[in-house]
Amino acid sequence: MIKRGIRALSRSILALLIVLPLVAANPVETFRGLSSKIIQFGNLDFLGLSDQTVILSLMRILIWLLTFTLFFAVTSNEHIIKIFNRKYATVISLVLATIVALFFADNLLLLVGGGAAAIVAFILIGGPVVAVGYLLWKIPGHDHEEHAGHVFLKLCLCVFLLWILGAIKFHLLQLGG
Amino acid sequence: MDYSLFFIDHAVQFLDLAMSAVIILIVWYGFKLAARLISKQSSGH
Repeated sequence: MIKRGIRALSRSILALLIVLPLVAANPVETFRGLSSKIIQFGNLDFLGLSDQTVILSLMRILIWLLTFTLFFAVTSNEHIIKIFNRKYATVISLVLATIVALFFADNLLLLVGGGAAAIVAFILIGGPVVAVGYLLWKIPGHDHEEHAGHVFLKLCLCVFLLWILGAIKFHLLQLGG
Repeated sequence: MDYSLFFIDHAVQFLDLAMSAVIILIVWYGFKLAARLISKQSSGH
């Protein structure tokens, strides 16, 4: 009987503790606070480190994953290296990946990251140029003579491309200040 | 060193190059279209 009473009391205290913040704060405020907390978590602000340190740490983890995968793919492949079985390959890849992640220089890490991002960004910016260039090359199709309409279409495509490039440049300049 | 600004600088240069190429193409196709239309008009008369 006493046990049951203690259990009921502890449950009610627990329920009170859970419900109390909801009663004390406006529900909208609570949700706003929650969303900002989630965003803060995504920023990794709670670690209390500078932005560059956070990026470098994340890059180190990614480099670890990359090197581990590459080393494991090579060492565990029986056609390439025949002396390791899967267990040895795992240990060797783990050790090598950890060494690489620990001793990779900070500046080099930033440069590699910047270079890789630049390549991808140039591909994304160059996409419309290549696509419109391909269309200009292919219009008109096989066994078709080029008419004035085709030339007009190509002209419109060029103007469209110029507009896209102008919009990209405008936003880039805004970003660059 | 700000890497994003470094990248933006290069991207703007690349865009300038692409835009000048496209402007040349527009002028080229404009002349081509005008030539076609003129030749069609003169053959029609």
